[in-house]
Amino acid sequence: MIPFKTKYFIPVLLTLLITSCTKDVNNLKLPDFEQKLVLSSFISPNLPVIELTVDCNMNNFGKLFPPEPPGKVTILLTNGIDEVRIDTTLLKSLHNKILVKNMPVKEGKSFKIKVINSKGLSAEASCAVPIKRDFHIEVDTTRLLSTDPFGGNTRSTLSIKVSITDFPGESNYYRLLITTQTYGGSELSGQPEKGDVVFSDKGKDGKKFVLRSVTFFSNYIDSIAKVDSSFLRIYLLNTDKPYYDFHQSLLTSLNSGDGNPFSEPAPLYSNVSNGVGILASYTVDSLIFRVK
Amino acid sequence: MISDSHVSLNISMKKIFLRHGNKLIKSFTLSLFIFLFILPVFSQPKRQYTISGFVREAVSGESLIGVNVYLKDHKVGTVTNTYGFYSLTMPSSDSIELIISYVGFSTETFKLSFQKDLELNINLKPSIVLEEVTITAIRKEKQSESVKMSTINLQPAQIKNVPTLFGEKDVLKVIQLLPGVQKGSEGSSGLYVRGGGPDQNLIILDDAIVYNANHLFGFFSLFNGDALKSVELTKGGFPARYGGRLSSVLEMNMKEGNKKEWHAEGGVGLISTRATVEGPIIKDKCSILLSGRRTFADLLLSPFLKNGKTSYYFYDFNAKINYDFGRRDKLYLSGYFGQDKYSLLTHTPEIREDVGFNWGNATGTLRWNHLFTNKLFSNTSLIFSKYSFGIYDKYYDVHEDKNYYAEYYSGIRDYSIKYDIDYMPNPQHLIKAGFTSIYHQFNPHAFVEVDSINNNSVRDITFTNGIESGIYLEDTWHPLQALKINGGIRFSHFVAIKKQYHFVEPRLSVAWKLSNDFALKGSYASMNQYIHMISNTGLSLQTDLWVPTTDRVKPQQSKQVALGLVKDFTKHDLTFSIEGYYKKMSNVIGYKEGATFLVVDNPNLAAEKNWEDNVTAGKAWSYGMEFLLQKNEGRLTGWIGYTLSWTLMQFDSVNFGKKFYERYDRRHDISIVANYKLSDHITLSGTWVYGTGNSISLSGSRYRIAADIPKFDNDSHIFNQLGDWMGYDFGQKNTFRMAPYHRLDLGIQFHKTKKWGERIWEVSVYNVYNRMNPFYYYSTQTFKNPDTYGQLKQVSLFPVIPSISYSFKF
Repeated sequence: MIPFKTKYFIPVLLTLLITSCTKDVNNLKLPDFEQKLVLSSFISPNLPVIELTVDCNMNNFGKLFPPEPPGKVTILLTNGIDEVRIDTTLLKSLHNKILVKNMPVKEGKSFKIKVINSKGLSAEASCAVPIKRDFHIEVDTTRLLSTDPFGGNTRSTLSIKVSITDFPGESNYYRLLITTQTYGGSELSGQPEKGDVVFSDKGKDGKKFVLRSVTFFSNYIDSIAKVDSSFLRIYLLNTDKPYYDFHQSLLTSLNSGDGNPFSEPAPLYSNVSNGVGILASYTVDSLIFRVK
Repeated sequence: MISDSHVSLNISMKKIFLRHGNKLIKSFTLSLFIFLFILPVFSQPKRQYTISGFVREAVSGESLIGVNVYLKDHKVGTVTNTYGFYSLTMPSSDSIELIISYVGFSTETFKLSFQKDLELNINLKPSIVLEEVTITAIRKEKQSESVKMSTINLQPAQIKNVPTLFGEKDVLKVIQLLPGVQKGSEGSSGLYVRGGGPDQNLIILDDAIVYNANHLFGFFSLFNGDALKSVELTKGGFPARYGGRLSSVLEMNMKEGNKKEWHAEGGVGLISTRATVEGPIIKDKCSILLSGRRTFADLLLSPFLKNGKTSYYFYDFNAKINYDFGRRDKLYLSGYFGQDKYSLLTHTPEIREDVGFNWGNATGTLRWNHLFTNKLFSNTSLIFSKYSFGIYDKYYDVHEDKNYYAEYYSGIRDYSIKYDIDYMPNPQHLIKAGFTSIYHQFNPHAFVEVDSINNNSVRDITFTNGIESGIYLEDTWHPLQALKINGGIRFSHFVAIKKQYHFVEPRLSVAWKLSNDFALKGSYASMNQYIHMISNTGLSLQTDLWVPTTDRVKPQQSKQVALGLVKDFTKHDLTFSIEGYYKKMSNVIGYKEGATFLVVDNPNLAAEKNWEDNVTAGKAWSYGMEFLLQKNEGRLTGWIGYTLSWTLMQFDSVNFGKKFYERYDRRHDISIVANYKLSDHITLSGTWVYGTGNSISLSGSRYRIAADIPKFDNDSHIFNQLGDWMGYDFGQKNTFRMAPYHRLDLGIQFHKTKKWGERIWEVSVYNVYNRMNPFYYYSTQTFKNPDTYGQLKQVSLFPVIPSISYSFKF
């Protein structure tokens, strides 16, 4: 069979190919390229260090150069109480990573990063670190044993349903991560379905709500034993809105278009003024659960 | 009675003061209702008589719509309704002079004694164009005298003269040439009227709503010009009888069929062949019209394709039968059925597979005209309309002897009842009232899979229903010689699954005659739209879904004001109009950034997708000026249209909540259409169009950025792992303008009268100077040692395309 996607677009493509022609566009003024600093950092009181990247953007048209290194930069970080200044030279075109160890991230405080380079480019972003809350994480598990119809092995399916209670009176944004810790075996991990990677309490303020279930499979007896005697570790990231907006836009961007030139473009969210990028923060509520 | 010129009426009890002697109307404190209904009753003179009847085409007996019926001595008149009926009630008179005029027909004048009710049915004869080079003082209908504004009538004959792509005559392509109407992409039949989307147009064929008006992926419309009698586009100033869409009403009526004698016409073009037969079943009582069209490329190519066979065809079929029970009752039954089908057959020793698309519309309308009195006309319609789109895959594994079948389909089905009355108490009032109720059955998606190879079976079919209703009252009031008002009110109601909506929609159009042939017009219309089209591609393709208003997705709403001037140049048979409009739309459906509804990619996933999650509601503003210079008679006919317009949108979740230009926001739009009858045998035609390029988002730069992927070690400590992603900096949405669109089409028709009838050869050239207009752009990178270059590429569709067609009629 022809793949679904291809065969159903054949008539449209045929129509276009029969009659269409392609040429370079030379008579229009293309968008100007404006060099900007690209800043990204995700901070949390739960993280041991602040990690941020500082790079430059690159042009889309004309002769394509690798991004210019930011060069000599001054980085100013403020957590609402303390200030740190870092002067450094970033010479790589990409992935200029900076680790800041002596700057605590404080929940409930605003955090600001400003980067200036020797060429006069600057980028500035701030975020408000969420206050750590207890979201009353609850877990319900269901285990189903069945026989693998192909190999005859016993198969174990472990379904995990996670419930949380939203903190009332404020907008909350979440990200859920679940892992299992087994004894003597490799770690199994699972992510909620795509739609639940980041989510908000919109319409559910203060309410208890059940997140989609996550399912772990194990095809072998020894794995089942490990799963049965393992711990589930549930981490609920309580994020700020930029974190949510950025990851939503990232998911949209990854899934957009399907090759359709008429689909709406999906720009990435940015909260960096003068430049582009993201500064976002979160706190973590967690639960360790013994699988029975 | 409020007479035609000097009005001095004082009903102090009601606090009405009208003084027209000094052109001053002091105050109105009573409601419109009192004015429209109580006043005419008070003002009836003692002896009044009515002259009424039907106006028909002499040759065919076809009723004529919008014919001007004018009483010269009284300086009052009316126009025939959709069924050719007119009625004028006047004080008795020894003699009246009645003038019947209609574009393209010889004017008829009757001198009559008016001492009793008269029934006068009139047969108009078509005029011979060449004999009308000298325009006489014969009174034709003038736009400056009509209260209608933002409305354009097209004659099917005009449509047939305009040169088009591959020579296929196309109503919608001609509509696109009118000011205020823009096409979407190259070749598309989609209409964008005053900043509205293609789903905001109410397209009606014999009272039935047509949901998808396209053949061949949008390149041709499904209306066969041979079967059409009238085409009217309303862009604003909507009378209260219309509702359910925000931006336009395109009302088309099919011919009834010749009541006198049998006739046929047809033709062969590069794309399709068509034939129409019409004639009397019972002379002057019952007639029938049958009209069909079909592409033939698949039939011609079929013998040359063996193992693999790609097939595409479309066809449409119109039929209408009517029966005249006498003066009081008439019955019409009409229908349309059309289908497009694409299939790809693969036959090998191992497999047999048939994959394809099909989509189509079907409509059916049963109408009953009843004349209660010579002033009260009614029509009752029962209407069915259906649109469906499907994808299928039939697969047979020869060795395994097993089948696979999958089908995805969506559609909408309507069952409607509509009742309208026209009441003509006197020449000052034409009252229309009625109601309509539509039961919509939506099928946003259905997926059926029977897989005997993997022993799998899926049947996921979703239906959603809604009931859309409207009740209206409108009056075209002619209180003064210089003033005409069409005021009305519509109450609309929609029953969604979990919620009901209802709105009152006031409508008003006013025409003030500043001098002879020169009028100032203004209008206001409030509209609501309860069903929406979700576009998969932005191209108005057949994969678009119709969905209802829900508790989450509210009705779209608009309020539009327009102000214009109309000048008729009677001597040269020219009409010039200029209109300014401002339209504000709310709860407009938009797509969240990156949203796609391309269900064809994976119907399984599509079934899981909830369209409500992918749309967002916002606001839109459209404003501009339209200029139109028209010439409808003589050797040279046509028009010059120019539109200067702006369309902006704003959605909370698009473009970070900031306003942006709509994709088809077109600052300048020009169209010139000309037909010149060189002789009895030769007609020349040409069109030239120019439009500002579409607004799109184009990224000038990109960047690498990290995304957060938190991880945890065995001691539950969190650590960051930054992913690496490419981001594109688009700046503000839709700030890049594509290259402007312009194109010249020329055509020449050779007419010859034969013993059996008339034949026409037409040679036309689409895009004469081979302008490569942009269809879409894409970015690409090319490597030229040692460097890489980023380049913007343009894809164009249609180069210069000559075509030839042959038509006949007898």
